[in-house]
Amino acid sequence: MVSVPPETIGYLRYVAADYSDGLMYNSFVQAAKVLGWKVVSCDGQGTPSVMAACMSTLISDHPNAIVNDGIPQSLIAAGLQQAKAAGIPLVYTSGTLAPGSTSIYSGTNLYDAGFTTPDQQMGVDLANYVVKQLASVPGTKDVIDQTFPVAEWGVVRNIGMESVLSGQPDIKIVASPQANSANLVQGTTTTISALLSQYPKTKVVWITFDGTVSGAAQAIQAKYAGQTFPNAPLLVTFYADPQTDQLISQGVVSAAVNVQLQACSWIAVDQLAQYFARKTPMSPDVRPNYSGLNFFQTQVITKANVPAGNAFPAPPVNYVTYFTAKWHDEFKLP
Amino acid sequence: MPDSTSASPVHRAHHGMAAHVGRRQPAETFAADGLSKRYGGVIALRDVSATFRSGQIVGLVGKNGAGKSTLIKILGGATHPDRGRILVDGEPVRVRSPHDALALGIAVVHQELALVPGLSVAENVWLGLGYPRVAALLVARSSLRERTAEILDRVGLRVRADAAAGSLGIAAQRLVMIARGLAAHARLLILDEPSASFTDEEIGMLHQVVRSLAADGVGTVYVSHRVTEILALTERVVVMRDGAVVDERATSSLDRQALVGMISGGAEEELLAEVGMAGPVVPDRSGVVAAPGSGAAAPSGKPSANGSGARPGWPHSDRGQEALRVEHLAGGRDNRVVDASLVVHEGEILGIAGLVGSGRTELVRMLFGCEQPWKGSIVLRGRKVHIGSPRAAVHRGIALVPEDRRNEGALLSFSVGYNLTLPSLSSFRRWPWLAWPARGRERRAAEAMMAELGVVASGPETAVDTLSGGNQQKVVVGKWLLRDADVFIFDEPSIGIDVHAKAEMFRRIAMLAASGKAVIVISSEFEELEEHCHRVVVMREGRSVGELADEEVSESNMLALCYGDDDPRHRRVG
Amino acid sequence: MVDGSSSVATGPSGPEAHGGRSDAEAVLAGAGRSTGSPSPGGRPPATRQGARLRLYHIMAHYGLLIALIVAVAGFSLARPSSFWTVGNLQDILTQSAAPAILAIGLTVVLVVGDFDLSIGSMLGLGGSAAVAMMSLHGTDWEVALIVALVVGLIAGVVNGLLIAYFKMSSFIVTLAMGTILLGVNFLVAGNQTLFSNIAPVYLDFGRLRTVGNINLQVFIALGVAIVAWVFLERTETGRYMYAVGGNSNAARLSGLAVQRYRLAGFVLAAIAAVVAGVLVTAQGGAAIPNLGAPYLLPAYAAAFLGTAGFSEGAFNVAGTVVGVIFLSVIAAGLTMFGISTGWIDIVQGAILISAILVSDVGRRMVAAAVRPTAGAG
Repeated sequence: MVSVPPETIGYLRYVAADYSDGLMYNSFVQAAKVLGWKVVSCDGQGTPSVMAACMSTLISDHPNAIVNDGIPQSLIAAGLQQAKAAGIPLVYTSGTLAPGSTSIYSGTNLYDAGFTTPDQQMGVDLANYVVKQLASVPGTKDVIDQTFPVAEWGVVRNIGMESVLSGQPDIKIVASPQANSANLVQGTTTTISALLSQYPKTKVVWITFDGTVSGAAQAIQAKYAGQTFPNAPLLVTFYADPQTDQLISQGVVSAAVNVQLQACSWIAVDQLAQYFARKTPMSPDVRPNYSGLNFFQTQVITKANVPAGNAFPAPPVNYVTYFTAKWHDEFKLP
Repeated sequence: MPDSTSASPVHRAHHGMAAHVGRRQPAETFAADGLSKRYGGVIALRDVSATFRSGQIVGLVGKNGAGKSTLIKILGGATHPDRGRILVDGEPVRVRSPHDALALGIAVVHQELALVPGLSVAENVWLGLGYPRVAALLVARSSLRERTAEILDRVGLRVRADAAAGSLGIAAQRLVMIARGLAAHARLLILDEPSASFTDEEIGMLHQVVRSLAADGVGTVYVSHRVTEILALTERVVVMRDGAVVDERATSSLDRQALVGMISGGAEEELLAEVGMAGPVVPDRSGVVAAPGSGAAAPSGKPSANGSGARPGWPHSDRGQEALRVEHLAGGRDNRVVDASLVVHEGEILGIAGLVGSGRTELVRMLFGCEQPWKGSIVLRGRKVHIGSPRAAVHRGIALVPEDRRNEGALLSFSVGYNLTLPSLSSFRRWPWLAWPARGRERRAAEAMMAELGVVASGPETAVDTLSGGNQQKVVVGKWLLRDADVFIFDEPSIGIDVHAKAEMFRRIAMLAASGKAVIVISSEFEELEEHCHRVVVMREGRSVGELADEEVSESNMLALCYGDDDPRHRRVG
Repeated sequence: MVDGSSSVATGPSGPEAHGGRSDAEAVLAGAGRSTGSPSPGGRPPATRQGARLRLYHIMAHYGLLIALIVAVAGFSLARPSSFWTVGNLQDILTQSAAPAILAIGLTVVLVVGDFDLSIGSMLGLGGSAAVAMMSLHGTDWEVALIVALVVGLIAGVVNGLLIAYFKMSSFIVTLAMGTILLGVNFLVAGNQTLFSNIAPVYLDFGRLRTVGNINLQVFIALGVAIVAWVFLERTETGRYMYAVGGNSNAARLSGLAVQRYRLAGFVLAAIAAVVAGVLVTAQGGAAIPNLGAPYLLPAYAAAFLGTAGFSEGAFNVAGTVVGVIFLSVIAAGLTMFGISTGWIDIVQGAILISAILVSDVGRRMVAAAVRPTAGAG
């Protein structure tokens, strides 16, 4: 049994107003509390300049480590370098950054470690769900694929989808508009409704970035009020957060593929604890092996299995219990 | 559009003029050669040729719409001729912008003040000409000040070079504009109505400056409506009428009557002999010309207070009730008014005389509620009143025709009709309880007023900013006639309008008084006050220093009071 | 035109100032910018030289409408089976409704000669406040609406007081107010997306299909437009507002209560923003944080586009509404051509610049033609 020193962790949030960000941050705080750590946070507000200012603030606080949930290193490179120079370990959690790689960056990497969700696998599983649904529809099936190339996880999700659809000759991607990050909802409504008019045979609207799904939902509702698949197109997206859950239970969103992205936060806390207590380096793997358990098992959430009360789906593997027990075994806890 | 200047590729204008001009031999003659210009359907200039020499003072005269402005604009590079050339020392040049003109030595000082109020005098003088630099980048402030002081000295202006331009009076600002021309090494100054709203003293100073510049070899084109000025100052007079130069004579060969005759054209000579009164309605836009005594001109049946030229000489006992009394008022913009008192009666025309800056405008603005006095009282029909805003003044029956017609009098973005009905709009309601004007009735009222005042425009829809100054002034007056008021205040009503429009204006003022209204008139042209007012209050340095009535109302008495002479006839008011 | 101008040189021989109107004058009167509102009696010019002016006259009054018709016709010909469909046209109108209401409110402020940068945040806060009342505090939808409108009223009054009565810069005050309202929005919504417990009646405001299967929003926007048009063009208050915007100094010296009209402008803009916010959240069924930001600049674009139509350079409701629809048509049409978002933004910006350019250049051309001698010497 070793003791874990009382640490202070700086936490840079991407956008505090975002539901996923809240999930990750709250989980991190919950995990840190088990170890008796203090978390100092700063809200990046989704804006690079605010994120940079946050980095400076956090660094001047001399934390034992700085964690962020989902900010690509290019946005805050200067701050990361400054922290590195000050000897502060840097950890990234959230979506995949480099396509097909096991480390978070294929090239220069300013982060000391990164723990991410399997976005490519999520794309594959959601695409398989789509293929299964479309099997009963005859003829060529059109897909509108709203992409989000700004984020690497957006690119990776589409790579997964395309790997599945390329084997389906009768499913065709007819349009790939990009989500406009300055005008997520209203812009998506405009774009999707114009494209639905143009491609009346559309059977699938694929929303890569879940932040725009309510815009697409409005467009489909306006055009196909009261109709369901196969008369109306399927609307599929990522992550079953409460708003998406509500849209699923209303039948507006057909399916959302989900993983427990909060598990990233627990893994990050565990890796940091090992590093502080035992001076062992953090795992270079984006999803380290914990006795073969898969914390990131994907689930396709539909009307059939949407959680009651629009909660976030329960984890197939309970990482909270697992890590709490693990730490009680390994460390002298306060 | 044929551009004959392009045939000759000489183009002397350069950028970086200040440096450039110094290297060139100073130009001697500037000539317009067959300039023509039309705007849409109207010919503004037809084949105009005239030569101006450095060191010579030339008067450029003509009625509104005679083409003076267009000629100035072309010489100054603000607009381009359809045909014709500009010659400098006999060589054709191309003047495509005011910048080009300045580089050639032609500086135009416009009627409107064109200084940046927040910048210092020095910065204004050198604006766009290039400031002296330190280390290639920073403005050399001391050198700038010295160079400016030198030029200010030449125009006889005694202000600090680093004073804010906005803090200066109108006359001083105009001199700064002239200084700007000198800073650019101008050889020909074109002064457009430079003495407008100047006092006689200021005019004298301006003339001195122009003369001393002429001695230095700087020529001046002096544009003015004031015949006296032209006769006193210039060596030669160029007369324009209907877009053409109709005459050009040595000033010494002219007298007042001859010059007025030339300006107005022979046919109207007799009428103009009695300048100012009983004139016909004659257009101030060259488009349409109405005959004397035509329908539009007829004063709608109301009797005129006085038939012609003579001053309104009525026995003092005839005047009506006291309409407005002002007692020891102090305040106003910049606290310009120190202690002003006056009384005006129904049916009376009261003049306010005074030099610019004596607080005349500031006083009437307080009467109209624009600013609040901090001392003294305003008594309206025997009751002491507080006038908190122009709106309150209007409700109490006071109307003001402000000095600055384009910025304060008329709404340039509105049509003639909408301007006329603006203060009285609520009287055109379809139903008294609903703020909904009956447009037909409103339109008819506007048309009737246009006819009564003889506004030359095709209809109430005409935009006011397309009208001449005189017609704009009529519209501003007309809006108060439609609203009706008990006290009418006219601040410099004749500024920038031609002789006929002036005559019309004062006839209208006389009619107002005859119908029992109290009228206050401010004017810098004391002859106007002498001619038209029953009584005159003179202001000096914020105080009402004297009152002249009946036979005492004369230009010389007013001047004497203005300059603080110990005149036995003056007596304190109130 | 030479004939028309020949009367210029003649002496005082015309029969009568009004009767003896020359062709030139008719041209000038017809084409002159008359007022802030459409000139009813604008006489079409009748001469050869006037042809150019008449063309401008038509462009100035109907240019934007013509551009809209051309755009619709062009997209319809290019994509007949998808653009020129009832469904697509309904979509375009539905998507234009809330932006139109916002832009109409903005038009009132612009008419009075002010500027309001807080309307985007006001839209967001209006929608969020209403949804938060139902979602977080469980009130009825009527209460939620009233609360949202009161919030708008307060923000508008504060803007108006600071700007009209305390003479602060409208640019700075409304910029600051926009930031404040955004902050209030975050607090009111607890920094999260609100979507639960929204009353069905509330959602109907944004979703209900009415006559001809047209979304209720479209009729609400139409109603707002008609009321605003009548208000600005036909009532005394509207005339006074145009007067204040034309020259507040001259308006004041004509006895108008200038400050009151400026205050009213900000209040009306804020209320319109709240109504737009309610429709946006009703349609989306959720209030997301910073909802209003994407709506601010398009509202300005539409209002300025509107100056190129109906009223020759003046802000006006009809022009603004056509401007909003025009921008929606362009966005929808270009999307159907598979043109990416970036290019749609570029095209919309370019259209705005060209519209203002054409209308300004044209107006200067006419101004040069109608002002031959004014202000001479």
